[in-house]
Amino acid sequence: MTITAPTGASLNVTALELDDIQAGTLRPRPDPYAGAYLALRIDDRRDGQELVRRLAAVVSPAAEVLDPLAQASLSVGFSFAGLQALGVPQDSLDTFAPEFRQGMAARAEELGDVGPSAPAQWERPLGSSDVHVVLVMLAPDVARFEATLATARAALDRLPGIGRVWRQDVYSPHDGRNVLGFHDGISQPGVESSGVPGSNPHEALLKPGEFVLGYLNETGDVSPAPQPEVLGRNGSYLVFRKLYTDVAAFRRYFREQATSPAEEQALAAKLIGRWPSGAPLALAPDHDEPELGADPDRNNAFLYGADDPQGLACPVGSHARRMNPRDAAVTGEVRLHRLIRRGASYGPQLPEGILDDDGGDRGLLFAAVNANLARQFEFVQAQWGNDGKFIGAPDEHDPLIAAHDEHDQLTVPHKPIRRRLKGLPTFVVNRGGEYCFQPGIRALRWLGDRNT
Amino acid sequence: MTGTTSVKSGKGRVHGVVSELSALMTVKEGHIDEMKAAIKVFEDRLRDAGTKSTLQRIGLRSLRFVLFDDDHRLMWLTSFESEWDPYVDDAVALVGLPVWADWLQHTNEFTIEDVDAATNADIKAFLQSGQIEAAGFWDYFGDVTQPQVTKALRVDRAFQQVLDDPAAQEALAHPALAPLLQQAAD
Repeated sequence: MTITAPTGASLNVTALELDDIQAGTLRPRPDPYAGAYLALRIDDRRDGQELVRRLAAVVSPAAEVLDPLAQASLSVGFSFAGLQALGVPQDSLDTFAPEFRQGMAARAEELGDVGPSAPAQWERPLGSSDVHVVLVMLAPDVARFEATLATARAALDRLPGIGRVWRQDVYSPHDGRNVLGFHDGISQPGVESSGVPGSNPHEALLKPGEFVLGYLNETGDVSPAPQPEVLGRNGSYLVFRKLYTDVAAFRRYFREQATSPAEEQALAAKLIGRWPSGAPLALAPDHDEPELGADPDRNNAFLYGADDPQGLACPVGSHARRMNPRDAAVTGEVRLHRLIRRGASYGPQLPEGILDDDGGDRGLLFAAVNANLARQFEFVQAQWGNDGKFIGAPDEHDPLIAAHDEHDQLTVPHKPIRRRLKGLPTFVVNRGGEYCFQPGIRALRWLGDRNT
Repeated sequence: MTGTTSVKSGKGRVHGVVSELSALMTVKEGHIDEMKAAIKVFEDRLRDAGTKSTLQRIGLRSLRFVLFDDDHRLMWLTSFESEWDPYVDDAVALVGLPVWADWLQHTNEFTIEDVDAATNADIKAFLQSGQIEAAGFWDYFGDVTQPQVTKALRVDRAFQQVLDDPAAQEALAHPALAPLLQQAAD
């Protein structure tokens, strides 16, 4: 299908231009991997434009990353303040999504970033107007990560008008387990014409416009792209959040709830929705099955509505089921709220068996790619994470990522009698994040070549 | 204004046990602020938990005030259990004439000068005069009443308390409680 752009050019809105879309937008990450997020501030516009020109030459298009699991990648995104610092004209800035223009900190109320997650508590300079450019580097091993980092450093060489304001190293270990000890990041949607099949064979491929601007989306519309067309088309919105995770509190809670280590693990799995190996409860309701967890052909091949409507295997309110209810009977249309997740662990693992917090900074660097911040990321956060009405439980919230009060609970369906996990502590605190626009490669050149 | 309580408008639509009344009125010139304040008072009164038992006796399910046409007109939409016509006198009596008159007096259609002298029949006749027939009406819980829902919630709260007791499984094992045990898993 083609449409006529404001410039008069015909645009194909169904076939993805993989040679122009950044690899980091569509291609899976390596597994395992090492990586880093690097935030930059543009103090001098001309240095900023030079940086963008250099980055345009080194950022990999999706078409060139043929083996994403074995290749390093460098992606670049800009905050709204970053686009302003680069001198993008106001009439163009006005065409970006309102949530992006406001920035994540200004959306705190909608996102439930209150109390210890409030922007006033965030790690500086996250949430401030000093975060302009965000580089994301991921590689299958430390050696290739260092090479990618060297590429980024070369792009920054002799640009005194660019400040390095924040860095967060991230990783995924060989067993893929996050700081809580659970293999995550397994479930990913497939995207039509991207060459990425998706991890659930029971989920139809999603329209490209759910993730890339300028293409048909699941509502039958073309996702609105910022203007001019050269800037917006093939871009995406990247969301990142540094989610500190209180691993010791998680372990203590389940130690208190259980009478044996096996029960501890089983209850924790009920909260997460998967076993530590990544085996889904929907397919392995009674005990972990490491072979299933490690099998990419099977570890995401399931539904809820058809296979487990009551949540007897995987609780309706568990974290994983909330974040992707699949075919379950929930309010709304799940396919309108899908995200490509690019989460990564950060910080040292808390040694096994330790129940006291050692003060270490550890957790998940959550990242998600989507085309519509309001309908996708913010909806998932507010409706599926911080609310329970969509599953008929208005008093329950996401047991893992939501802030909890003393009344919060998780209902764990079980025959003959359900169990309720009460007094859930708050396990996750947002220490800061931002909405970034991840442009196509032509757009990067346009941003770098602007004669302002 | 005079009226009789026996006249039915015949305009309300029904879904199961629920019926609706929709009415259009016009706002008196210069009265919009008083109208909004009176609507707020009416809404607060309905939302006050202390009036719940009264509301149940009225059978009121939902109520909506919509000011439109640049605040010149008011659309009043209600739904309630049972039929409106036979119960309108009861509704007026249970809420209290002054509470109705408090906002009705800011409409052009309410012509009674001495509000204190208004009767239930006046209120009913007035509401019927502005009533319009809805083209469609649907309620998800059209087949159950408030008392049924309230009772179900009370029973569920009690049931959840039972299930929280470590001895619940043993207690529910008695054959007589099998129907309850079947509901205990989620």
